[in-house]
Amino acid sequence: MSSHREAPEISKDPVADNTDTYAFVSPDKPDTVTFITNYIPLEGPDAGPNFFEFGDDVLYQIHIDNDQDADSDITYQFRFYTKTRNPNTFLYNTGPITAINSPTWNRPQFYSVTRIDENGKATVLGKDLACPPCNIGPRSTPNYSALAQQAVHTLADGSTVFAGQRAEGFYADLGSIFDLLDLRPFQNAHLIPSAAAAGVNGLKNLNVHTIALQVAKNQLTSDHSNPTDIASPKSVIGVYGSASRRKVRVLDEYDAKESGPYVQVSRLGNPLFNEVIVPLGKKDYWNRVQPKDDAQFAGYVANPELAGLIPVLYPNVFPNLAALNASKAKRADLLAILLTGLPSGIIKGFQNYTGATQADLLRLNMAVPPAAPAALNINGILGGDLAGFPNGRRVQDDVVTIELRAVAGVTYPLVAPSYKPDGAAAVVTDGVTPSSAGLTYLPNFPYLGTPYDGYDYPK
Amino acid sequence: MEKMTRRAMLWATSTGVAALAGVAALVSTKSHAQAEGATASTTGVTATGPITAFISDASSGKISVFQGEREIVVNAPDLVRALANITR
Repeated sequence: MSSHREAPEISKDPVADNTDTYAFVSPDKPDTVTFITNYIPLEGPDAGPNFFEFGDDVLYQIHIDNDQDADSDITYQFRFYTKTRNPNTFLYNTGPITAINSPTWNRPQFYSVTRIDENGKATVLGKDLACPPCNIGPRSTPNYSALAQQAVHTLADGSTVFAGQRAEGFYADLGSIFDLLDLRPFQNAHLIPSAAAAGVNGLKNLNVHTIALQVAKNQLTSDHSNPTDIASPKSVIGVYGSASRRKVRVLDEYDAKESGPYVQVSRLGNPLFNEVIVPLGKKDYWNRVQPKDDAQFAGYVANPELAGLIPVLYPNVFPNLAALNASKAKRADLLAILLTGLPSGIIKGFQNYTGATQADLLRLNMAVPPAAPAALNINGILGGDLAGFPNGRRVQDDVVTIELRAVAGVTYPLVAPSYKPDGAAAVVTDGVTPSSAGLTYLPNFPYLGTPYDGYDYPK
Repeated sequence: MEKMTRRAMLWATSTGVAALAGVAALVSTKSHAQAEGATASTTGVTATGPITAFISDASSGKISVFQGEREIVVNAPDLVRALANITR
């Protein structure tokens, strides 16, 4: 999964589990950037009576570096609180919820948004902002799309925010990938072969909790300029999401009391970084560390375990990758893509370099215009679409296939032009796409689709 | 000028320094009360919300005190010894 349950400790703490982070130039408002951080993996739509909600005891944050040192210059903080309107019923809703302030919603949740600038100055941009309820079913949450739209708020600085349940937009064949890296379309070539088959979306009909924020570009640059020059370092931001908990929690008879500073328990920049790059023994530690200190993990990027497994699990399919692995050469392509961004001169007309500090950040060159819908390629830069991953990440981008192909060697010629990737490296995939999975995304904020309701799903 | 991080801000603020002194005084008072075996008076205690003390390694003599969003680490071997004795 992108970062769903990717480390032992956070897999036991779903409300703090940052499952996906997205950052992209808004296709319908190209003077803005949209950030999305998702939490609570694998939400079953029918999971009542206590439907999913953000953690009131979790500090959710979106971090942005805009001056090439991998440290946060702008941080948006989201803090939640929940009310129980009627404690004398087991019902989540005591009737149809027809409006965001409907008294029949028994567990309304609210939040505040605070912006911390590079000097540590905190500005509250909004408070008592309402989340939508979960999508229960046609009797409880009729006309859910309109209901959720009421939870889109404008903040004091003109930014737009939404926090609540959405349809899971990430897609991957979890069942095959975690079965010894089987890829159904290519499993006839696997070490333990079976007939090739179509990919299966392991996140089908599941929901997630989303924090989405749309901010004017000139509020994100270090000098408040509008980024228009792709070659300029000022056009590039580094982004990651995180969740933090108080250091101390004491359980009383009826309640829990918390104190102490917040400690980061989950973070996410590039998809799949902690999932498949960082080894099991360091995954929990990685979640505690700040990206600016990621140089200690660079060895796992330079010689990734996955690159070593691919030629073993698919014998005689990746001989060039096997030779590259045997040479012990550092994967400078992956180090650039994942830890520093691509400097100018690697890909014509593009860079998203954020300086020499190695850090797992999602890097977005804001001067690259969004792709028109007909030109959008879910393989991002690999597909010739500079507006897609790893230039930021859009909700549709096929990050599993992109990273699989990159690790398989397709991006190594960027730094070693004489290297010839294996033919399979350019076509390897788990076989799941938005169209094959039947996923729909919204054309405007918050972009992720209407969550599946608990009456009709699962099915 | 070096960029001020949020963490640096927390450490650098005078509030934090004052709080450290306040908790040190509190620790001293409580230690004294424990030593005399008296029922500790709460007169003059102004901190609001729960206060949690944590000793990771009693032999270090250090105690972490958590209040609000702060963690204050103090060297208080007498208090650590007194608390350790309670667990015997």
